[in-house]
Amino acid sequence: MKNDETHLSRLFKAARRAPPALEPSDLPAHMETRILAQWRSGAGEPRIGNFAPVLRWALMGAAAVMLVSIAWASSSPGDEQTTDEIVANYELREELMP
Amino acid sequence: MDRLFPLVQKIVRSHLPWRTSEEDLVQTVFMKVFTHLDQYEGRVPVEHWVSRIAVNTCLSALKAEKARPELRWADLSEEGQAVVERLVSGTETDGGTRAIAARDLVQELLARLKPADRLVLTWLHLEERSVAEVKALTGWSEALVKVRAFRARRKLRKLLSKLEPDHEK
Repeated sequence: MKNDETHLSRLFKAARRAPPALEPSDLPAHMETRILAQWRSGAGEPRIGNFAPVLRWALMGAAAVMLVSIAWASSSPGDEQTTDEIVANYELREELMP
Repeated sequence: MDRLFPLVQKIVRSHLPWRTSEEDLVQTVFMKVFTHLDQYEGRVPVEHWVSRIAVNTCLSALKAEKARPELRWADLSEEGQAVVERLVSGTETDGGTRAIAARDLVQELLARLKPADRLVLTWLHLEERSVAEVKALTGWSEALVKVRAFRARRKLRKLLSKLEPDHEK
């Protein structure tokens, strides 16, 4: 364990003495042109950037509608009939039918 | 752009993912700088702001990089094997070509770590930056930098020990 740590420290020490792999260079002219052209064409802009607020509002609206629907569905009386209603309907049908 | 190019180039070179063009990544960094220019508030020097963008761009590129297979003794160059043998035997490894081989070996080992671990070890142990500098470059807390460096170093130690000739036998 201690040996491993020593080996690693010595490896880093040796690596630090290595000369830089490549010397820093000046900005190549073609790259400057390429970057500026790409920027001016708007390629760096996210495509949905302008629609993001609209999409956000649409999503919030849809979520609100969904919540209201759920609340309304759970609070409104259902179509299920109670036993009394079923009996009453049966009796009515019995009276009306020949 | 002329003023910032050497800075961006240096960061990109230090953290260039495998099989990625340096020029493409530099271009991506500058595009992000231009696109988000309106977000620069002038509270910090522009170099710091651009450095942070460059670091985050490199980090994203490194995350997208595919995991490399484990490094084995047989994968090392002759110089790389000599460096490991010298490390184990306790012989000096400071010669010119040995230093280059040592740097290549470190890069190979670092490439097997997670992007954030790789970044933190490169800054602290190769570029000899301080914890405060790493904190400024990444926005991580000091504690996070230290913990990440400690864990990354432990992983690297393990990878190096696996490479040593005794381990291979």
